[in-house]
Amino acid sequence: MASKVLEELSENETDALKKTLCFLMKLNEMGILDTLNHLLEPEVIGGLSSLILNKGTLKLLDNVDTLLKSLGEVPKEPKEVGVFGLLGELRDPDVKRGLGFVIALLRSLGKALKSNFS
Amino acid sequence: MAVIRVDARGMACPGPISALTKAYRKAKNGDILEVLATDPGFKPDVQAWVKRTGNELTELTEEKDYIKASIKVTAKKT
Amino acid sequence: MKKVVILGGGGGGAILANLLPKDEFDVTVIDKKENHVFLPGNLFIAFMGHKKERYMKPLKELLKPHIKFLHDEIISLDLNERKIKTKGKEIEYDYVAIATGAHLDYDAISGNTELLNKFGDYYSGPENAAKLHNTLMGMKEGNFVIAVADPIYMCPPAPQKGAFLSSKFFAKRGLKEKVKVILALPFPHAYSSKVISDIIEPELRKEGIEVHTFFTVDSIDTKNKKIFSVEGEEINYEVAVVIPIHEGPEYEVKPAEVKDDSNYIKIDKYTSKVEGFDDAYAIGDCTNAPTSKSGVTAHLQAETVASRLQGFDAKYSGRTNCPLLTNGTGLFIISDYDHPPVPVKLSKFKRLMEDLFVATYWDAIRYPELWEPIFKAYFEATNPEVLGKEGW
Repeated sequence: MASKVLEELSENETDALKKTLCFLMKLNEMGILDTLNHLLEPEVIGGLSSLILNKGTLKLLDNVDTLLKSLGEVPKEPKEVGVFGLLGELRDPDVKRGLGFVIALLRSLGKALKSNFS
Repeated sequence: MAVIRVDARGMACPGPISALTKAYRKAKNGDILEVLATDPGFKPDVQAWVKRTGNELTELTEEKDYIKASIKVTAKKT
Repeated sequence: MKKVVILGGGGGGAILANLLPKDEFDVTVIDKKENHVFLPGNLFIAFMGHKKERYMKPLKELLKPHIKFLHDEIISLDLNERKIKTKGKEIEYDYVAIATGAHLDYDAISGNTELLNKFGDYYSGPENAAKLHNTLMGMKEGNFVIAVADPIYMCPPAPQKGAFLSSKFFAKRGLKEKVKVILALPFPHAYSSKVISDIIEPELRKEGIEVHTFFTVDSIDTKNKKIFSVEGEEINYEVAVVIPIHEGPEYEVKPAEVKDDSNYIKIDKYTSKVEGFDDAYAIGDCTNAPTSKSGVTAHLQAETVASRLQGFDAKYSGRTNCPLLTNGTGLFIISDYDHPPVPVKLSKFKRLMEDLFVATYWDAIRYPELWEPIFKAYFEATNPEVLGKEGW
């Protein structure tokens, strides 16, 4: 029966099948198949999902676009800014907006840390 | 001529205007459409609707917990 | 064994059938169609030229092996006698779930059937969506109009999606200057919810899509190529799609009082129980629940009913998650019974999520127990209460 199936396969398919079997054997020897088998339970998938899919990650992924775009536009060697320079920069509306974002981020980070450690 | 009562209380948008449109499709000139709604967006929406359709808004009042609009149907093409 | 009969094997019916444990339930699904159709696929067939086969699968393959599939047309349902009559059979049940979707009444608007036969559309099925694609391929100039005959229709953002996708389609064909896309809606704004409308209006403007508000189709004059509105206005078209009037199931249901004046099945919006019955449920587009007619609604109601049949006190919150896509970006219209749509900004990530939902559709139906916890995590993270006024 098995040999009959093999006869029907093309050379490419036999090759792919051999490699897959080899890969599966490795997974089996290392215990990965057993582990995966035991991990595939609705409770584990649910726990993992709610860890990955939460308000924070969804917001982060939603903003990846903006973040990556702005990273790409940062000059290779940004100029140094001192205290007085900083005061000057603060008049730039783009800097103000960026600073507002960072401060809001710091605030919620602070809140999260407080509730984590108290 | 008939008074057609449309109770759209508790319906969020597009509830009230949808309910009004549904009633208006069947209405005839001379009919009165009486719409009750709780959605706060209904007030500007019904004013805009009357202006666009050319019907007559005879009453628009804010009761304690709902908005009431009475519309006299005058612009239906026969 | 409890005998459950599910009327209709669309998204809601198939998921409910697959969720019921086989050692406890004897499940039969009845559908007059052999193929299950992924309805949102019609948009991709019509405006992106996708092959229709991609969005159709034999229902038999989507149902788990222990589920019986009866390919037959339903004639009547008697809730008092617990009896279903099909063309060929009479079936009794312990529990029934009505999931036959909305009936599209093209004859209610004069000229609509003629319009459908001439151009096709993206509401009545993959064949007509393919037909619309051919029509649009042959279009050279003039107005392409998407209009709505009644404010209650499947997939609330579908007219806007059609407008964005067709605008892209015409741009690709180099007809941006010659073909104008017109969106005619019964609402005061470009979307039924003002919050969502404010977000997409600039995008519609950018695409040059013309929006007519307060335009509910009254009749279509196919000779002079005009659409007239209930509100008293008219629009000329070269090609048009008019989303037809929707109704509840056509077949007889006893007692007649369980249908409302549009034939929708009256249910308790939380439990999906048919009004006055403990052994009858209705889910998806066939009900009068005051929420969007969408796949997500049917899916979540199916989960609710499956839980209830197993003895749990599950409730459906009215949650919607309707995807609205523009050129390259997307958003979800997120609301429930207690919250109107929250502000959600357009992003590439949400568009990717929409594409992921489409890609995993067949698996989500065939293996709902695997996908249930994943969707649950997503729905919890994006609960309108959690997102609040700030939105996502």
